[in-house]
Amino acid sequence: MVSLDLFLQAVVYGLIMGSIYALTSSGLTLILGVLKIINVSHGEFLMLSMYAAYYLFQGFQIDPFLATFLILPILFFFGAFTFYFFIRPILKAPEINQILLTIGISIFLQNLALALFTADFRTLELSYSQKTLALGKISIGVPHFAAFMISISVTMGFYWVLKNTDLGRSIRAAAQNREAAILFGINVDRIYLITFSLGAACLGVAGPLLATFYYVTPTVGTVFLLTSFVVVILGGMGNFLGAFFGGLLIGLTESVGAIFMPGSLSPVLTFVVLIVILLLKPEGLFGKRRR
Amino acid sequence: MKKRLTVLFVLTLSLGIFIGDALAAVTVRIGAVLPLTGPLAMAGQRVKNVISFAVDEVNAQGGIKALGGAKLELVFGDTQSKPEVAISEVERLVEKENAVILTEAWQSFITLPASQTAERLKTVYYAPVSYADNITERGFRYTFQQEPKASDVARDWVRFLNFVNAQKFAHITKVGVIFENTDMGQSNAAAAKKYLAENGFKQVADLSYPARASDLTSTIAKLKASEPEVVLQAGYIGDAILIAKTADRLGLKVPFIDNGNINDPSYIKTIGPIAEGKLGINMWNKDVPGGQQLFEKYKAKMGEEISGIFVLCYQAIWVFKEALEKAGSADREAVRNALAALNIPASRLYLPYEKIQFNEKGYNVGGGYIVTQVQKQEWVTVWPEKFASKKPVLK
Repeated sequence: MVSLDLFLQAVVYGLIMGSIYALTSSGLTLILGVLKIINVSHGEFLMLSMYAAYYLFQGFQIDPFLATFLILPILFFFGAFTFYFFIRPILKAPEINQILLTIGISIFLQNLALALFTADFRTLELSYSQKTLALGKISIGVPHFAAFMISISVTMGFYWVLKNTDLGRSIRAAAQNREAAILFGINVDRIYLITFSLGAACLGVAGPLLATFYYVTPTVGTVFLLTSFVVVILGGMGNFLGAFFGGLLIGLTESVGAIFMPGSLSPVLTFVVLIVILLLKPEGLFGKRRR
Repeated sequence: MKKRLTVLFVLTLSLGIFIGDALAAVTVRIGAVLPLTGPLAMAGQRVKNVISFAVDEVNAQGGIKALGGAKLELVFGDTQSKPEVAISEVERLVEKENAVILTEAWQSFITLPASQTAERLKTVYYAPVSYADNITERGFRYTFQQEPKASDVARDWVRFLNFVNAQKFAHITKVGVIFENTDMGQSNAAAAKKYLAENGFKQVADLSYPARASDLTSTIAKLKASEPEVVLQAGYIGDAILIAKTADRLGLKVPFIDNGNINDPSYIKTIGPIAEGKLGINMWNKDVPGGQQLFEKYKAKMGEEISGIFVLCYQAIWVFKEALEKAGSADREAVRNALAALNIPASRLYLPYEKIQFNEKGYNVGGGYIVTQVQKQEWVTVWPEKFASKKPVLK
């Protein structure tokens, strides 16, 4: 029988990992919603931000949580660079070409990392890496807790920007109807650039957070990419709240599932949840039905 | 005049081709199909370095004397940790690159299809590292396995536990097992179940986890809840790092014995003090006979540290040399037969084995494991007694 403590421990970590998934998926869903592009290299952007955190720590002893302030703009500009030179030219191309391009970018970045950083696994050993907070009988790792707080804040902040600022409204307008947005005087090209860069910037936050407790290796992006796509589809493509709640849901599914079933089946449970939700609501939890 | 020039030109060309051909026959190609990119790139790249080092040594010592000093040459294929890529790489190395012997895909689940392809192409597939129980159980003639089986990991895990109890280093009755869910982990875990039961241990946990999990808190929490006195762990190095950190964070402070994947130098380097006291089945350590020498000359030439699982590959190159000398030919069938008839005694081996001799299934019956432990941030051998340099510390 599963004890309550075990269950609650799983719920806590499910929410923590879920908040990370929410953060990585928010960027992806926005790119998907606005640009209608499936960015397969999303995972590699995450991987690069993790390496950035690692090297800033190794070289300059900058705590990864503080390094987020540096890495967010770095990833923003890296996203802008990638968009301007690689994505913008193919925006009008057939979808399969777009996917092929992002797959190519993904392979390139993975191998670039392999060549530059070698395949060695790296971890950031901070003074508080293994410290824990106690919540009754449940222990929460300090870096995990901080990562959770920051993920939630950043995601909420992003949501506020989308809802309440002109920029946010422009992004949502471009996502809903590109032609209408142009008619209303929105510079859609600029919005595309900003959206893609913001998507990358989300990973500029998620990366350093993850690096405080997960290992860094050239292929680490692939661990989170598939889950991010599942969350995006589950939550409704282009829907920010969907990515947020979807992320938390999948995090909980993986963590709590591993308590009740053999651990190796928890990815299966993730996909079962996805299938069930899509059967009941094909446009995703928060998606709008296409008329 | 013009006609004579033409004849001379053609003769020279033919002579050139003839000499070129003869020169080409003076190397024997070993096909190394490794995970050079992908999640196990770290291991693949290290294997590449180690076997290049060994081949250079063999060539520097005169190459294959029975073939007139022919040099060994390595040709590489990249499996990318994907079975279908491994298959096409095996085909390329045999058909286009004329590899006479193929070696190690590393992961058992890739070795299985790769060696099957090699069998079809009637080329030796030599596995110094893969050790899933079924590798040599398929009735193949061309597959050879140098390592003891995955189930022998479990056999030696339990022999070590018996040793620990007999020598009163600890009193172990309750054992937990965690394993990753591909061929390797499942083989180790299934065998552990059997050997633990046969030896009167109580198995309190039998937990699988997905190999590339983003978080193992739930699995380790379940493990802790089962209250093991010792944990047997079957995973690859990435998950081992995650497990060590998660266990430490959740306060699970019992001895962990790994299945042979953590003796990479980066394990201690990445997790530092948490590595202290961790045990692992190992294939070699620098405190076995001849070990320190090999460790130092490898470090001097390649600038990195060699560890157990990679010495297996180093040993393989020397086994190929012996087989080629015995065969006296680079013909694939002759090489296969020579390998099958080899009997290399311990005195000529770099590994802590009894001997290298393959049975009719291609399985080396003379192999054996040691157990090493991290003591003062260094790996030391603690079992079997004939190789141990220190006593195990199990708190």
